[in-house]
Amino acid sequence: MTKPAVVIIGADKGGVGKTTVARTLLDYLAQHQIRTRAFDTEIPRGTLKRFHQDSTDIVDISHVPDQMRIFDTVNSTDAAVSLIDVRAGLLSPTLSALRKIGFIEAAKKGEITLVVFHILGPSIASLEEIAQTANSLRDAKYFMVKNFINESHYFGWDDATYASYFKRVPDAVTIEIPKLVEMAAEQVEVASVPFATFIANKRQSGDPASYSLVLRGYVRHWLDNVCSQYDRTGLLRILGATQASSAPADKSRPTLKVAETA
Amino acid sequence: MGGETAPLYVVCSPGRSGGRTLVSRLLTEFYVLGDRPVAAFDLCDDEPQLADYLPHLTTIADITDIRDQIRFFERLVADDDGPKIIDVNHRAFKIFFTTIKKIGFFDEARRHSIVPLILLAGDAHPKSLEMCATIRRWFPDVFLLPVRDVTETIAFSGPDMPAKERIARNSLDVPPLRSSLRMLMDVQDFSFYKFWRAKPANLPDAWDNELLDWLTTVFFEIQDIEVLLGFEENWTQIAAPPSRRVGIAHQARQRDVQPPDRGQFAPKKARGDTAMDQPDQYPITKLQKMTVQLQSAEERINAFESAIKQWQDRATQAETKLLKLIQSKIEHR
Repeated sequence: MTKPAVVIIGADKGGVGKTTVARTLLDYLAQHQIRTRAFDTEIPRGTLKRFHQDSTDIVDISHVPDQMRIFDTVNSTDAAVSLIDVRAGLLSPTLSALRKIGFIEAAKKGEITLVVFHILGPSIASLEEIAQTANSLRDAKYFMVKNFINESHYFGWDDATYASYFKRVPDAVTIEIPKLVEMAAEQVEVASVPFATFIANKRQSGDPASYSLVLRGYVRHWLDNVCSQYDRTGLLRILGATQASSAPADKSRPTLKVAETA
Repeated sequence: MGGETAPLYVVCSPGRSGGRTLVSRLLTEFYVLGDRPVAAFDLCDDEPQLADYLPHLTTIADITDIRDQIRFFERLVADDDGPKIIDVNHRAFKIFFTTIKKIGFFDEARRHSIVPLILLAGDAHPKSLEMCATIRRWFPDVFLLPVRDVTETIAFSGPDMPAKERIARNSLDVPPLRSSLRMLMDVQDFSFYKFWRAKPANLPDAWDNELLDWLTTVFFEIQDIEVLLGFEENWTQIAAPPSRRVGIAHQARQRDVQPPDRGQFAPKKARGDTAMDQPDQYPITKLQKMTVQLQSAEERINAFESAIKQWQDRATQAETKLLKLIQSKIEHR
């Protein structure tokens, strides 16, 4: 790992599946044994932390001490990737704050790798955010994520409308998160475990569980599709991530290791 | 499950017919006769169905809805150690295998010590061939056997199929049977189990013997499949009840299968001579039977070769005598 990477996941609208995408990224990086620390900005209780308890801290992104906790430790942490699940409606303010503290500039200088996952909703209002977000990024890698939480087509049936939003930022990468069967999504929600742990039929404690094999199968199939999207876009290469040399080879889907603590 | 394995038979057909339901019935009743706790599942939605033939052993299932899928697939891995048979017709074929592939069911089944086997009953239609090749690509680690019912259209490991997509050459062979007996079997209240236990009233002895021979052959095939699946330690044994042998006491018997006399075929197997009829002996394997038949064939070949040699010698002698006679006549002129 040559330089630390920061992944920001956000949207300016709620209910678009932002935390779901964050969870898939954590599972993906764990699968490739990339040490990752996560920050959940949904204070006070958090949402991401419910699923990834050991590797997630709850922070107030608007609070300077918490900003220092995140960004001042990027170079000193053992984690190769710092993932921030930004609260709905705070993506633009967060990017503005990062610009102010010189974080965007540091990315431009190549001191860090900055990746933004902009989770889009199937509405014109959500798509209007694309250009705005892209303008505030300079040398950060911009991922537009279409999260198919329903049967939306993201205006793919209308070439003109589609092009006006998705073709406007030529360097952006589009990722499509397929829809997960509702019953499977609900059971994972109830289980409150990472997707990989659910697939492995384990509880948060690591004890065996008794989840439905059918629903586990659907989640496995869905997560494989999502991970293939990340593979397709070369996400690991973009993050500059390599497998931890000290970590033993493990073909199963491991849960996250303990990362940074306050 | 105590570490024991159980077979899961998926009997399916990408097209119509192909002998699928017949095979499902035979498998199910085979295990009934073997006193195994078998469960059958019918995914078909047209007549005749497996559930119509075996209503007390068959569960009609539907997998179009996810709740139904959960009920169905969880039941298949239930901890009951018994063999299971799933009858999948052409309408359910695609959704069944697509779902299996999506949820990784066969891998999950193996984790529950269940050995899946796909029995593919089909025809030579290009679409059927394509679907079968797809199944092989999707599930390369699962046993797959074509069902060859010689009274139906033969399946598809034929020359039209690209070599790399050819399905396994071994098969479950359903031997030929006279049409009147097939019609008898197709009657919905006909039971192989009941037939095995007692000769049906008004059925001629010759037909009864023929059908029993046919059924014995099929049961041998199923036992061979069990060995193929790795059940050589706990394969299913079946014995005919003693009352069946009383009914054929007038026929000549051989207590043990002997090699035939030189130049003759092995004697036709009489009723009551099969290993299945001798529950106190270890079953005679199909391999032993084939060995005896092979020996018989070799004996006949030797006999023919000997006869040919004799005729050749006689022809040579006759030719020599003729030549001497001709020479003698020429010299006397």
